[in-house]
Amino acid sequence: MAAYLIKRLGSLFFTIAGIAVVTFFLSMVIPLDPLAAIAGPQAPEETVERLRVVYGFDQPIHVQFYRYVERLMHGDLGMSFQTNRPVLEDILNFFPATLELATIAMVISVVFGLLLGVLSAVYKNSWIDHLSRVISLVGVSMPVFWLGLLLLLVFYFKLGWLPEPGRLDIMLFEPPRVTGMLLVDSVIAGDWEVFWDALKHAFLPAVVLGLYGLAGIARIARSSMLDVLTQEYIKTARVKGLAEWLVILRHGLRNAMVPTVTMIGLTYGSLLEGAVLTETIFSWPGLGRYLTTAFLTLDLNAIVGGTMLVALLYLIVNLLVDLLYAYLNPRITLASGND
Amino acid sequence: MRRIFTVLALSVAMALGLLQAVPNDANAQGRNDVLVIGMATSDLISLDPAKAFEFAGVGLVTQIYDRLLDFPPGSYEAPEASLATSWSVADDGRTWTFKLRDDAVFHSGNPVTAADVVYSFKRVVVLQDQPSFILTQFGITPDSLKAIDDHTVQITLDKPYAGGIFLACLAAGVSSIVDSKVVMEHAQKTDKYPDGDMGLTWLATNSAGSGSFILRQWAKNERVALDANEKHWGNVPKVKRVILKEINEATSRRLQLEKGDIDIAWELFPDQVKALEGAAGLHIDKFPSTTIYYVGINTREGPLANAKVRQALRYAVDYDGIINNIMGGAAKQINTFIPEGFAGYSDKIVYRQDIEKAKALMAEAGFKDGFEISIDTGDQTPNPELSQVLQASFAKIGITVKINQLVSAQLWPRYRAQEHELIMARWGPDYVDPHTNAQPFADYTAKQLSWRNVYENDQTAELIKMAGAEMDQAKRIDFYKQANEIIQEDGPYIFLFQPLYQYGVRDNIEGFVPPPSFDLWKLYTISKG
Repeated sequence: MAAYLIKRLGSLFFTIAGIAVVTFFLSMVIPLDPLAAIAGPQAPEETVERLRVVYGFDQPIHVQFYRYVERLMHGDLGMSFQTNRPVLEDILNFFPATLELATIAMVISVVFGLLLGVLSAVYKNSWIDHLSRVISLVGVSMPVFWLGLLLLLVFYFKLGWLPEPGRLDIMLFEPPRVTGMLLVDSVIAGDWEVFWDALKHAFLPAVVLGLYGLAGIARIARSSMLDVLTQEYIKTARVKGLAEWLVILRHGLRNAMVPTVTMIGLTYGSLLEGAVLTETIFSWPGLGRYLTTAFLTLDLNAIVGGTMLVALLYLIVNLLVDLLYAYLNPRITLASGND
Repeated sequence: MRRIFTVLALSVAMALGLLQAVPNDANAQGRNDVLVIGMATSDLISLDPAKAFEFAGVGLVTQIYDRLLDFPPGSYEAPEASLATSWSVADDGRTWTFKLRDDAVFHSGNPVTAADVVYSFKRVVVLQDQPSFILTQFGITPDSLKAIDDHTVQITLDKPYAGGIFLACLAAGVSSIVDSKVVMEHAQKTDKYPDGDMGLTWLATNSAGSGSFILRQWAKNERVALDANEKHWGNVPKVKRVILKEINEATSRRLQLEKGDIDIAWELFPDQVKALEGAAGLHIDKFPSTTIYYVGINTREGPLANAKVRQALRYAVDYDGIINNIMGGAAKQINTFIPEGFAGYSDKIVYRQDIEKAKALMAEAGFKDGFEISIDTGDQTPNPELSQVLQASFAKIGITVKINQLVSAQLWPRYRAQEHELIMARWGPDYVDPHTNAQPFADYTAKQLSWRNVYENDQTAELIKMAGAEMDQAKRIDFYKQANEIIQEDGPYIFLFQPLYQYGVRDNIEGFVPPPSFDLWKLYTISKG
């Protein structure tokens, strides 16, 4: 186990280093001038040239690369050209909001996705199977932008059941920042008013994001369940006289979980990158908008920092998924030696 | 099976019900004292006057800080006394003396003194960030600033400049006065400023001003909260707190306004304004923005070097189609480089679509059969749409236009390198004086718009230089007008329009003066009934 972890962490280092190198050279190859974004369209020529020197873009590529690597080796992600703040500070500022939203969305996806998937496999071709298919279709095919606005229109504007876009009511202030996740920080501070308000605010965007993940999970869970339910050991379990729900959950679902967990991992990873459209509609200060702006304005340091974070998240999620495999199906051993 | 459905339905209902259980308006009282403005503030980078140069940043800086002079709400021709009560210039035309009021106090409780003015301007000049040219263009260096006594400041310029321009620049956001004692306590050494950053890092997210509002909190990409400064020497706000909520999506701004969750929706688009028609409890306020949309014409070579061709282009454009169809009526045609609201603006429209005249001009120029040309355009609405209208317009006089749609990191470097043929562009003033537009548009030696379009007209350049040194305001404005007439007739631009800012305002909001640009916000005048 320990050897396995060390091996995984080692490959993590090389992945990150590779990303750093590739990102740097990609940004040098594309025919865009980052100074256009830094100086803006109106700045006089002298300002542009002065900034070129200040940011080091006047240096030859190998010098720029050397400085870049040297900085990264010291763990310094550099300053964002756009926000003029250290990239690390920006990421720590925006990521918790994304983590919070993605996690709630994930819970929605997994709970309802599994429920729908299992039910539609057990009651194949019944109305619940059809309903599940419709929900999945809607979940993957409906544009987030449209769905988000529609839900806002209905649940906020018309019915008034849920609050306006944003993270917190305008009259409330955030509790002292510990994790940056309002739901966690408010519990730490014992501020239940903020907790409830934050939960209400997170509900709609989480549903929009969750629906997307739900679709994939429900489909995979359904097909793997169908697969599993025809197996001999299910028959055996039934013959043993086990209650039907026990057969489905213990013998069916557990075995159907292996492919489903892969899907869950991938979905969670993509949710953690931040979702720019959902964040825009729901005024959510997450990572998606930060990274999108960084890419559009060629904010190199922010791009590198963000890409590394996303890579790191995927690697961690993948690791967790692999560990879960071993738990779900003891026949899959981690240190099998042939990977 | 039915049981499962019941359980499912119940759990959804419970989830919603649970969320519902907490009253939405737990804080209803007190909300009357809080003004909530919804706007797109994603461009907010820094709240430091020496650094902020984006719309939202400058707009906020002007609420938190006072300046020596300021523009009164709703009037943008000349700045008036603010922290300075009187000023004079010596006979040499270079040495300016300002008397400060003695009752102004910073939010910290420190009095506002001449030393603070000297320190504030010194910061701008030394830090050399984006807006610094607004002060350094007058040759101001750390040595040209002097505190004569606690309430007298002397500023020596490198040569005489038109008083109107200089004073307007002292009213700009970058000329805000910071609390030098507080800022110096927070200076730190950074990579870019190894000798100390004069508080640049700290002031980005904190404040040390004397203005009508005190910065309470800036939650990035979420909101900015400002508290009223009850001790302001003149302009005490009429509400206790202002919250600037970041809502980048225009439909979302509209919904929240209609619902009453925000009091003012900053900048609504024609779609939203139409959707709000007849909505109860709110109205729309409009004012032309100071931004000018124009087409730049590179005059270096080919047909575009011919003044008659440029005239023909100007007569060919379907201005009404642009304003009504592309801009949804939320724009106003303009034929000058001085926007409405500024001294010297003229509402005279010379160019209206006249295809016959345009064709005749093309024939006179020897291009009866037209030619092919490209237009560079940004990828953000309305630029591609505008370029399509231009394409259709020019086709009517035999000119085939190819549209190059580019992202801004490609577009502006091309413009700067004079590589375009036609370009769909826009310009917003850097400070509130016609000079900020006249110089880039008409003086090629400033290496800005006139230069980028390779239009080297010594006559207009000379007029702008004369204006830059003219102490008599009326004469100065006249120089701009003369330059404008030449540019209108011969220059490398097709002026299109100024967009209208449309603000959605709840009916219980009083005293809102719709501003033409962000640095001219005056939030202290607004009250909530």
